[in-house]
This record gives sequence, C-alpha cells and structure tokens, in this order.
Amino acid sequence: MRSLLRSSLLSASLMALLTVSAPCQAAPRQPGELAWTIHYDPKTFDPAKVDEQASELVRYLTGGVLLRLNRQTQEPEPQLAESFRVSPQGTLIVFKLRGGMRFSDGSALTSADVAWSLHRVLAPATQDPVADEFLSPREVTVDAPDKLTVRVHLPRRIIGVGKIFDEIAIEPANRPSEGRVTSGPFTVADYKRGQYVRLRRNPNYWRHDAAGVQLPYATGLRLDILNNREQEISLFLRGEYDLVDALSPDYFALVAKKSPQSVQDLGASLNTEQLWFNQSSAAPLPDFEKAWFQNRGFRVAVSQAIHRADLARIAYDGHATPAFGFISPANRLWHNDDLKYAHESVADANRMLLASGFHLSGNQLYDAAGHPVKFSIVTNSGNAARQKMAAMIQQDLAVIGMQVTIVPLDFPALIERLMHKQDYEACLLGVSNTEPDPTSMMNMWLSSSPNHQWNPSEQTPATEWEAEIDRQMQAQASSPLRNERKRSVDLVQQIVADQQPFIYLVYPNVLQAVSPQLRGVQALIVSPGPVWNIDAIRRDDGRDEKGSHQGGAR
Amino acid sequence: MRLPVKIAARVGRTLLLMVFAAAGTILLVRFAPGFFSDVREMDTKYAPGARSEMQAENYRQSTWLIASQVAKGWLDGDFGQSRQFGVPVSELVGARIRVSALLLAQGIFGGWLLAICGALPISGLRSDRLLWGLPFTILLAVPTAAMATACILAETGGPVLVLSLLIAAREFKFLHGLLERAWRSPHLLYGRAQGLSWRALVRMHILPNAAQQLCALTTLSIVTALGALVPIEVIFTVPGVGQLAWSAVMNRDLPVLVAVSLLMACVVGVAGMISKDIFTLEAA
Repeated sequence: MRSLLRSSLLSASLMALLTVSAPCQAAPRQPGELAWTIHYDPKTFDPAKVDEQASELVRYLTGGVLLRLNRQTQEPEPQLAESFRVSPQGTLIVFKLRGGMRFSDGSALTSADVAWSLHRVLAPATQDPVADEFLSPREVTVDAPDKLTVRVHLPRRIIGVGKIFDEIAIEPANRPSEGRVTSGPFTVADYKRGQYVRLRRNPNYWRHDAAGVQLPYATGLRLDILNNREQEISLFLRGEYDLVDALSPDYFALVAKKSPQSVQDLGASLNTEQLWFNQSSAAPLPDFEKAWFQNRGFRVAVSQAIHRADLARIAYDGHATPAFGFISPANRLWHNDDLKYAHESVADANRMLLASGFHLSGNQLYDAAGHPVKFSIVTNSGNAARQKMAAMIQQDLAVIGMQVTIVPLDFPALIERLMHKQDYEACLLGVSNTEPDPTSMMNMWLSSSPNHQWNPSEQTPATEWEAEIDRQMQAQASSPLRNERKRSVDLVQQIVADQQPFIYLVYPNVLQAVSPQLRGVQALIVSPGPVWNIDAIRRDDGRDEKGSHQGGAR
Repeated sequence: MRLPVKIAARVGRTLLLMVFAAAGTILLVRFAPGFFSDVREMDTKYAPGARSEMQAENYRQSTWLIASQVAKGWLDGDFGQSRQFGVPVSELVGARIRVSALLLAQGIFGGWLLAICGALPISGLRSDRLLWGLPFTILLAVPTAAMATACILAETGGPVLVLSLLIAAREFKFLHGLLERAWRSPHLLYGRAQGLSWRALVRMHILPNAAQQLCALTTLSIVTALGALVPIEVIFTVPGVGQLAWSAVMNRDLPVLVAVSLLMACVVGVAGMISKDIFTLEAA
C-alpha cells in the first residue's frame, strides 16, 4: 500500500510541476523590441479603412504622413512633406516632399504615391471616415505637377485642415499592402489573431536624430492583444511589458505599491464623466417624467446636489478633478476660465426645486401633480469607478428627496437603449475626447446629430438655447480667426453650464505606468498617449540597439 | 434493432442536437438587447460609418432570414463572416480549435492523472477515507473562475492546472466509488490474502476490469471540460474557441456564435454517443 501511495504522490507531484509553471507568458520579446498591450484585435491594417482605436494606433505607428499633428503644441508639423503652404483663401494646399525618400521595401516615394493615397482616401468606394473631414470629399482634387510637389484643391476653407493629413498614411501607388510596406517608422511584420501584432522597424524611415542616428530606436514593437488588466499588470511588473496606458485608479494604486517609480498621474484628462437626463420627446417615458427632465430647474438642482469632490476622492481615489464644463482645464487653449456655474449646495438645490414646482413631503420629493420623483440611471457594467459614482449620486440625490435606481447594462444593450430606443431616464457615462479642438465635438453638440445624447437627431432645435449652441458651434467651425472661435466656444460652455443638459461630474486623471527602462517617453494626455513620439523611444536594458543603427546614420 | 440502424439513430440524435443548438443560439442572440447596436456608434468620430453599416445589416436581419441564411450557408460549406472581426468564421474558428483541443487534452489528462493518483490509494484505505478525500470535495465547491483568478493573483499555475483540478474534483468521486467496489470484490480479497502485491492487483485486475467504465467517464470529462473552457480561456487570455465565444457574446457576433454552438453541440453529441452507445453496441 505504501508503494502505491508513494507512486501516486510522485505522479501527482510531477503533474503539478508541469502545470504550476508560469501561468500565461507573453510572446518572447525580441532584442530591442518594445511591448505593450491593446485590448482588441485591430479590425484592419488598411490605413484607409480605419474605423476603431486599435487600427488607428497601428496606423499611427506604421503610417508615414505628410503632416503630423504635434500632440504637445497641437500644430501640424511637416513629415514626409518638407514644407507646405496654404493659400490665403484656404482652398489650395501645396506640399513639397523631401527628396530621396523610400518606402520600407526600398521603392522610391514620390508625389505620385502621395496623390494616389489621397485619391484612395477620398474615393467613395474606400469609405474612409477621414474623407468626411474634407466636408465635400467628391469636390476635392489632387494633382502632382512634379515628382516632389502635390497640390490639393479644396472647394472651400476647412478649419484645422492640417490635422486631417495626420490621419492619411502614404502608401505605394497601386500597391496597398495593409501596413506591410510603409513610409512610417514601423511596418506590420506578423499578426496572430487574438494574440499579438508584431511591427518591425522600417529600415528606410526618413527621420534621424540630432546625432544623425536613424530612427526609430526600437527594432520593433509587439502589441499583445489582451483584455485582462490583472494579467497585463502582472506582466508589466515582471518586465514583460514596457507600459500600461489608461490605468484605472485601483490598478494605479496596485502598481504604485509594487513599483512606485513606474506610475505617473498626469493630471486631468480631456475626458469627461457626465450624467444626463433623457429629454427626447420621442422617448417611451410618461409625460410627467419628460417634463421633469426638460425642466432646467430640475437639472440644475440635481447638479447642485452632487458632491463632485467626493466622487473624485472616493470613486477615483483622488485621481480625478471635479468637472463643471465640457472642456477640461487641461485643454488650456479652449477652456473657459470665466465660466459661471451653480455651485454645489443642497439648500440651493432644494430652493431651486421648490421654485420649479416640486415639493418635499417627508423624505420624498413630489412634482406639482403629486408624482413621486423616482427614476433610474443606466450605466455600463464593468467600470468600477463609474459604478461607485452612481452609488454616491444615488445617496446625494436621496438627500433632496429623489429615489434613484442604478441599472448597469452591458455596452451593446446600453447603446441600444440610448441610441435606438431612447428607453432610459438618466444615463451616467463618459466621453473620450481624443482631440483638444472643439470641432471634434461637433457631433455631440449639433442638435441634428444622432450623438446629441440628451435629445438625438432633432429636426429643428427643441429649445432656443440648443439653437444658440448650433449657431455658435457652426460659427467656430467656419471662422479662420482663433479669437472668434474661442469666443463662440466660451459661449457654448456657458450655455451648457447654465442649462445643464449634461451634468459634468469629473475629469478622470491620465494614469499610466511606464517602465523605468524606457528612455525618451514624453508625458502626454491626448491620444495616442505615451507612444506619441514612438520613433524616439527606446529601451535601455543593456542590449541597446543603438549601435546596430549606426549603419543608417547620415 | 440492427446495428446500422442503431448507429444511424445515434448520429441522427447528434444532428438533431446540433440543429437545436443552432436554432437556440439564433433566437437568443437575435432577441438579446443590443443586437442592433455597434459600440462605435458612441464614438462621434466613427459613428456615421458604424451607423450606415448597421442600417444595411439590420435591413436584412429578420429571424427567419437569418436562420435560412445560416442553414443555406452551412449546407454550402460557407460559415459566414464574423460581424466583429469582418473575416470568415471558418478562418477565425479554425485557428483556435487547435489551441482549445490541446488545452482540453492536457486538462483532461492532468485531471485524470490527479484523480487516479488520489482515488487509487484512498479507495484502498480501511479508515480515514473521508479525510483523505476532503481536498477533492473542497475543490468541487470552488467555482472555475475563482480558481483561475486565484492563480492569476498568486502568479502561479495556469489554464491546464485549473482545468485539471476541475476534472480531478469531478471524476474523483466516480473513480473512488468504482475502485472501492473493486477492492471489496471476493477475488481481490482472496488475492490480497494470498499476499499479491498492491501494484500487481491494480495492474492485473483493477485497471483491466474498470477500463470500459473509465473510457466512458473520460468521454464525459470532455463535456465537463467544455463547460469550463469559456471562463478559463477568458481569464487566462488563451486564444481558443472559448475566448472567441465570449467575445462573440459580448459583441453579439451571431455567425461566430452559431459556429461555436454547433461545434460544441457536435463534440457533446459525439462524446455522449461514445460514452454510452458505442460501448453498449460493442457489448451487444
């Protein structure tokens, strides 16, 4: 019996040894390679068909562009174009290309390739979302009078036209390669669905550093497809990954505890967290509820009753900034520093509700017709900070007599309720602003837009203040003068603060973890975050690949 | 009934199971909240494109139309296009089957090894059997996802270990009972009284006699392992069929879900057939 027990234990131990070994390893890192994660598979590597964030990142890392928007100054800077000139009317842009440029496969890059790439983006058959930024893409013409000159004729002036070229990757004419042949810093080398995207350094990339060393420094990038934050952080702490972007506060605390030199809180982001009420007249809600939500006093009272500082302190562990407007103070160029808004005060909220026809009986608030004020807040499940905020708002509103139920839904179900059926009372959600320019928020503010969340796709503006927002947003989008644009945007910020169609709660801070071994990372709060200057980032791990690049030095 | 008729009946039953699985999947997903939505609709940058794609797709999305299209596609050998990834489903599932099959094989092998290593000595004990079997009983009470999360947090173990422990916990009870009965059989008691070694008794009497039942149980382990495949692959980020199924559910990717459901139904049907029918037929 003992021998049997011994052999059994031996077999079990062997089995345990075989299976206990490292849980889930990332793919092996190649020398000089940087690695981090993306959460989903890119839908496409074709730079002209990008319509989601993972593909957008791959395009950013692989695509050579005429102009690159400097993420710090927000000004377009020449890249493949040595210089560019916009005519005084804003209808002609002339690009002068750098001489002697080559694609990653060694073929020459000329104006014919640029013209072909622009035509491809503009062609309706391509269905590139970037084409819409030209306002009338069919009327845009492109010609190449010589090998180094490209002219783009626009039917009318487009404000901030330079940033559109930041999204157009130049490919070899008539040879679309889905990122395999590029003019940017990297090329797509390998892709295993659900596992990783591997990018290889472009040996013919045109940029060199001040010392004449050819960029990029990294020999390659590995973007692991991983939608598991625990595992991502565990692998980061083990040195398998070089950075973790968009950390949530709880994970930030975890990394800070184990590797305090890695974490960075960059302060308020451009993103907002907000609560709004369904004001759509088509919503399947009782009329008295619609009347509450369309009542400015009701919305302002709710805003006054919410303790934003507590939301930031508790739900975000202090890694958020209380919000009162749609433009974050981090967006210094467009934030309205003179914004006037109703400050938090339960007493003022009660007075405002009383003045708006509501009355408190015991602990319950009633409207003028005697309906108890009860409603639900829908939000997406799986976002811990948001759910904590919802619970705290529930408590804050109970103080002014409102009964709130929280309904977490998965994203597809939530979108259906918001965008298709408008079957909800209030919603708590965030907006990711990837660009500081308010033109990028047009779809959210124009009353005719389906993304005008509180009352989507209005035939005509339902209220005078919405009409005014429409006018001011159109004015800022068409004015060439920065001052005029700023005045319009300031006015919209003030209207929103007065009317509270969105009750802004917090600006979550930008939290990231960067390996101390990375060199050249410059903090940035806008997309694509810490990798915006990827060609100048390298890993200092004693296996510096700099020497191997010397051959490419000028 | 004659043997070919019996086999045809079993195969028919498996096919029927597959049809029910496909129909159930289509109905559940088609009427799930959010079937007609796309996450990109919330992104103001990509909303117009997403909306026009969705409108075009929704236009042809009546339940009967979906069912007939799926049936026609499968009969023609076309499994459709993934809504989420925009690539053929066959390409998507094909690449992952190998990963999941390997995980299942390793997990089942490991689970049985652990269960046998536990059950063999414990079933031969005269006392304290309950105490020795306690770890397996406790394991049975731990949810798969909790086990996997514990492994991640402890930075030890992996998908094979979790699957093995799950299978071991499930199969230990059956094995223990089986072996306990075997030890008590008169010819083994006689053998033990004659001084035959434990190893000889196990090798020459217990394992050969229990082989048929053990094989039947092994095929049923496949069904147990399939049930655990989704949480294990999702938590450990294993690029297998389970992870694909989860992602398809979260994105209401009907063509992928139908394919995965049919695959699972087929495996379950065949496993059931082998465990129950084939041995019966052989005996007949």
